[in-house]
Amino acid sequence: MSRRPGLLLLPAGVVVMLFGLWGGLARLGYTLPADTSSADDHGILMSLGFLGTLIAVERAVALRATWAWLSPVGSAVGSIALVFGAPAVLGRALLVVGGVVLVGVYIALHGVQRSTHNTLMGVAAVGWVAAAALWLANRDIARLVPLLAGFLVITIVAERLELSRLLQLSRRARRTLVSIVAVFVVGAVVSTFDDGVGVRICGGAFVALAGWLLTCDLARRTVRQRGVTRFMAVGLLAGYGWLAVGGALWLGYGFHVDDAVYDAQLHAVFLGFVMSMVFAHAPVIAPSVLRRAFQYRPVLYVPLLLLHLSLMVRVVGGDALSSDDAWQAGGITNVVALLAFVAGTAGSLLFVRGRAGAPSSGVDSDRTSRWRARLSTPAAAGAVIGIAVLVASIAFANSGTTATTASASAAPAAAADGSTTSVAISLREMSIQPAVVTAKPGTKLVLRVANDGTMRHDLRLSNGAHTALLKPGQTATLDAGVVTKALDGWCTVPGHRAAGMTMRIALAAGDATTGDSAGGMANMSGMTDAASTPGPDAVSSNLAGAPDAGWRPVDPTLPPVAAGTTHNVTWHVKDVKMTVAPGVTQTMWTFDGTVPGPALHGHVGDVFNVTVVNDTQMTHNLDFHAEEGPPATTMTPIAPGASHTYRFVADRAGAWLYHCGTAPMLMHMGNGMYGALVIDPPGLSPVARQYVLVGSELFFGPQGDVGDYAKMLADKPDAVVFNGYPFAYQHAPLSASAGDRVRIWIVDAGPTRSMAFHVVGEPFDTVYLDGAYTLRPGDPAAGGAQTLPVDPGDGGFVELTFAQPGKYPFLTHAMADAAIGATGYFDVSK
Amino acid sequence: MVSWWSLLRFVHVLSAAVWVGGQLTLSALLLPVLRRRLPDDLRASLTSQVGRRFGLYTLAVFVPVQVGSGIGLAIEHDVTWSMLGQPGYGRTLSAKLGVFVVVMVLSGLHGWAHGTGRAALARALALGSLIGSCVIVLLATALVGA
Repeated sequence: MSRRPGLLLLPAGVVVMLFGLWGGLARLGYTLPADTSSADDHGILMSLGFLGTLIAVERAVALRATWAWLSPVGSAVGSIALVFGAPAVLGRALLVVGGVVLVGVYIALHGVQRSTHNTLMGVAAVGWVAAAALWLANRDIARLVPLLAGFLVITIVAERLELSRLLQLSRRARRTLVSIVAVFVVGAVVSTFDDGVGVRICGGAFVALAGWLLTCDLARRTVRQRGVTRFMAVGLLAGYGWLAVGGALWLGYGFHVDDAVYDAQLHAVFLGFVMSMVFAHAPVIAPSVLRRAFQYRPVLYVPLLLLHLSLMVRVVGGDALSSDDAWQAGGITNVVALLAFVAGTAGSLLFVRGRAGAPSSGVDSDRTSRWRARLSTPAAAGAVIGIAVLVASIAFANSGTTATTASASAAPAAAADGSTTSVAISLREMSIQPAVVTAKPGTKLVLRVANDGTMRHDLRLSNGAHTALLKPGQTATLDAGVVTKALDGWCTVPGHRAAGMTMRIALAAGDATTGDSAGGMANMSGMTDAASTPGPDAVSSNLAGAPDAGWRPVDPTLPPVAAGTTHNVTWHVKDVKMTVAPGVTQTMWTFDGTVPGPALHGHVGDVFNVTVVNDTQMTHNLDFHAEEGPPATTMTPIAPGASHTYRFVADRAGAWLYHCGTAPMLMHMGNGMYGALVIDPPGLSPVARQYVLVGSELFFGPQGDVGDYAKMLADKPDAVVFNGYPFAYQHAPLSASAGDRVRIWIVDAGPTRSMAFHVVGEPFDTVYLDGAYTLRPGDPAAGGAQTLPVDPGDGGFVELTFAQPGKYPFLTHAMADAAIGATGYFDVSK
Repeated sequence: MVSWWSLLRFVHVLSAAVWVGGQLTLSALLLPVLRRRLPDDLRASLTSQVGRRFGLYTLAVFVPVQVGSGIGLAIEHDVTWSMLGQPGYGRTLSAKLGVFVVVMVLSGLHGWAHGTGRAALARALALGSLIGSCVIVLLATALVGA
């Protein structure tokens, strides 16, 4: 091994496989802890990432040229890059590189020794290149299936041809094979512009290929032998059977996407044929690539049988008979089979009695070895018992809870008494469709819930039934039970119910409502998750009263610009229960624990790297008004538990707002997710003191709960505040000295009200708004300014010099707002 | 918060840990060493004696403790018979109870096979029972989150 470090790529291939399987489990509807792109990339990770790496390693070993290792390096590194969230372009481009180098390897091998099998493998590798290149060009993976299947199936068939050189193949048989492959290539090419026709041609070719293999391959004869030879033959014949089944599905159904047919079409070919062939060939290929002895043991039948049985359960029970439990149980056992295969192969390579060399059939003169061979059958039987218990118990424990294959088609339904009715429900931002489902009393209602949105959602009914939190694209069945009374349904992700994600199950008899989704807003005061009727909104008896114990004002001092031109900060998005007014506690959504979030300060041209860790159960994002670029890419949403680094160059000066821009934005901004980004204009003169005040509105929800969305929509704030708390700076006045110049930065976070910032008793001599000075000292017009008018989402600064010591109120001159909190004092000393 | 209920759960978990841990230690660590280091007859008598003791412990201590504390925990969780069929917590719990019964049966059969000289069968049953025990632990951890 040490002489060929390239073989380290094999473990890398296995790692890619593990991520691919992880993605496969996610596709089966299992809720997994980590959020990766593996579910989307499952097909590519398994075909090009895992098997592509193995095939490329094998060929690199055969060619014995260093450059040939670029191929497996390309596929392994590219796949791992994809898994770990590197830019998609990078990972996909590396896969293209891997494929191109592999084609080169076959050309080089062709120069060494011409053979039909090598040519066929070269053709297959072109399929890899085409698939990867089209993927790089953003073609949907479902449309790459013929190319990916072509790469693997033709490579494997050619491999059979290579290994069966012993068998006297007639020229006719050889020519037939080449013709079949030619038909397949035509089909694969056609599929790039006409999926329907192309898939059917490829399917026909697969059926023919299965027939050819069953007729011409040695396996039909060797299956009567014993030991490893028989094991291989069993794997091969079973694989040929699946190729015929898969081919028939392709031929009969044509092109399908993301449904039961698609599931069966793909897994018959990729699992039933391809994986079975891999299992069967492992005893030959593993030792030749690794130059290590391989000790065959009958226990290797365990993964092989598991694979085929579980695939049958999946395809027949799950896909054909539409049993979700069978589909999931089959799918998870597919994964177990692959893992067991990897473990079995590793064991066969590691625990070998006797000398390294050719494949061993397991019968050895060594006494211990014979003893082991005898005992491996009971061990296999014990493992089968254990795994059967495992699979059966998990299948039962998870039955009736998780996702299904059924894709929802909208159909509000009424149903007959006593029967079961199934209704498709679609969750998206920010509605549930249909908004009303009518059912006759006594109906057993099952909801097929699909998250068709771009964020996580769930559905909870007022009788307590609920789905898991569903990722975008995920589906689940929700047993609503027997309907005896009207039920409310809503999404429990905070804010979503308020924003309109509600539905109602109404009784068909009598005056059942037939309202539409607008009815959702009627429910918007309901902000709590647990109860369908939340408590009343909190009220502060005296907004200007003494703050609750433990309250501390937000420091209004503008932090100095940190050293350097690159500013790296890390914030945690947190839900924080805090006192927001005397006697009022609310759960605020915060950037790094405070409302407003931390103030950022820099110079024009500085780079900001703001890493945001989402510690909440809800998706959030960050919109810097100073940043340029399409929101879809610059304002990346951060899933619960995930993090993201927002990077931008502050090209323009100003008092900028930053805020969470996740829908419903009014809710996220109304509940605390904003702050100020101050970029100094060039040549800004030094002043004695600089303050930053973020104006915003508060909308009290029930005590301890989040804000009241209805009030936000109605523009009815309970308080209008500077830096998050009503009258904060009456309790803790800003300080200044007479004769000193003071600069006050104002940013208005809204969400809806404008501010007219005014200092009672001292006009401004400098005003900066909308990126320009509108007033500076020494101006020939000799003017002064009395308010700084700041609209929501805008900011600026003013400068003034207090002529005499004393107490100077500041406020927004919109007096109603000043009266409910947007008022403070300057304490000016001598 | 430590309460009488948590004490009961502690007993349940500790007893399970001792049993599964004992099973794992005996078969994965001790047996291979004994096979290599002891002559066959001595090993056979030693393992069957250890096995009998483990069986005795299982019947006299382990099963009563698990069943007793399990019933207590079920009472604490307000588990009802009809609940056992419901998706989620109910089915996970009934799967766990089912596997517990299967493992006890497999272990009993293992003792019988070992005692009557059916070595291969005994080995298969032992491995099946061992994996089954791990499945119980898996389902138990799933219950905590359900």
